[in-house]
Formats: sequence, structure tokens, C-alpha cells
Amino acid sequence: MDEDFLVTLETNKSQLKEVSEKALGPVKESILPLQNQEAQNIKGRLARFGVVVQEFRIKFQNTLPYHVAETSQEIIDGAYNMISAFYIETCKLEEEARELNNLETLFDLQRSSYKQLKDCKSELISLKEMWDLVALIDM
Amino acid sequence: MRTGADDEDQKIEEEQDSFNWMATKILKGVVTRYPTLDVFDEKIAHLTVVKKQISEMKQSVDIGWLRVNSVPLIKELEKTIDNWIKAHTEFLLHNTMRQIQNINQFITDISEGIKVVPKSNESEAEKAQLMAVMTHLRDVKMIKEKTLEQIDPMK
Repeated sequence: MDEDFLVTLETNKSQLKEVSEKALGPVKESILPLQNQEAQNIKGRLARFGVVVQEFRIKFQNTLPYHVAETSQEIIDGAYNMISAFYIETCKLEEEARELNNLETLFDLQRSSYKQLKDCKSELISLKEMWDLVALIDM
Repeated sequence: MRTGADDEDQKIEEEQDSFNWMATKILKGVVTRYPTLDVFDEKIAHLTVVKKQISEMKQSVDIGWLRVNSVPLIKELEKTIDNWIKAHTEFLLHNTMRQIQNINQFITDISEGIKVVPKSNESEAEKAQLMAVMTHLRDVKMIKEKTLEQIDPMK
């Protein structure tokens, strides 16, 4: 039993090494031209998405209620609606960013961090907390 | 502009990704948080010593006119100790067997997945095939070293 177990482990180890060498050697080499071609397409998609994220960030900063000049139930509801709408939009963009990050990893491209989206997410949390306080004081 | 903090974040994300891939391929159904093998070894050795002490206990004791038969108690204690030793060794065995099973599955998946390589990426089917092959290559790249590192301690 012990000997069988050790043999199985050794076999696994050598099979894993063998299949890895094959995958990262001849197989990778044979699809390299296709990989480069597809990487170019992905780079185009990444550039377009980068612009979308940048524009979203500008819209985010210009639209969301960072300042409270006066308060009423209507203003508070409006602020909450806006925060919710931007939250949904941020989540959708994050989903796309994850998909693109996955493609970057697949095609050996530098991984983008999409810091703007992370900033949007953390600011949305702060804004929600701020408007919770505003709503509490206004009650 | 990328900063040192961004690079650090990216490293953490990549490490998380690598662990996630391990978790979905090699560590599926495997318990990963448990004491070191030395702790297991120490515990099993201790239980074996206790078992020996129990087996050496007197089978009957005379207290005045009363003779106490301790055989049933000794047998019950030995059974309990055996169960505890079994629980420790079987946990390690099952966990290791599960991991080996996952490694085998991974090897099979990769071997099958890289058998057919697309010749172009013009049609949707070829693109899908290219993605599938690239996914296998990524898995190998991400998982290989960590998996090989785990095989020797299993011995």
C-alpha cells in the first residue's frame, strides 16, 4: 500500500512535469502567432475600455452629490437614487474589467488595475454613509 | 501613473488569483487549514503511548474482599484511543488522496485540452478553441509550481 502510494505520487509528479513542459513548450510555440494576433485585438478592446472608464470617472465626479447645500426629502431621495444608479453602473464596469483582466492574464499582457473604478467604489461607500448621516439629521 | 502601492496591489491580486485557480483545480474538496504534520505526528505518538499504558493496566484489582474486573473498561478505553488514532490518520490520508485525485484530473484535463490546437482565429469556433487552449496554458503556468511543491510533503 505504502509503496503503491509512493509510486502513484512519483508518477503524478513526472506526468505533471511532462504535460506542463509540453503545454508551455511546443503547444505554446505553435499558437504564438495566433496569440499575438489575438493579443492585438485585446489591446484595442483594452484601450477602448480605458476611455470608457476614464469618461465614467469624469461623469461620476461631475454628477454625484459630494456637497450638501440644503436638505429636503426630495434632495435626499435624489442623492440616494443617483448613488444607486452609479453603483450599478460601477459594478457593470467592474465585471467587464474582471473579464478583461482575465484576458490579459491569458494572453500574457500587463494587467490593468482600473484604479478609477476602485476610487469610484470607495467614494460611493463614503457618499452613502454621508447621505445616511444627512438623512438622519434631517429627520 | 502607476505607483509602488499599485504594484503591491497588483501583486496581491495576482497571488489571490493564483490561489483561486489552485482552489478550483487542485484544492477542490481539500481541507487546507489544519495543523502541521509535526503536530499530527506528535498527537498520534502521544495517543500510541496512552494506548500502551492502558494495555499494561492490571486486568483485575482486589480492594479488600472485592475483586474489580477492569477488562471491559480497558477494552473500551483502547477502542476510544484507536478511534482517535484512526481519526487523525484517516483525515490525512483522505485529504491527500483527494488532492492526488484532483492532480490526476488536472493532468487529464490539460492533456486533453492541448491535443487540438487551432490553425487560425478567424471563425468563432476557432477563437473559442484558442481561448480554451490559452486557458489550459494559463492554468499550467499558475498551478504547476505550487502543485509540484505540494507533492513531496505528501510522501
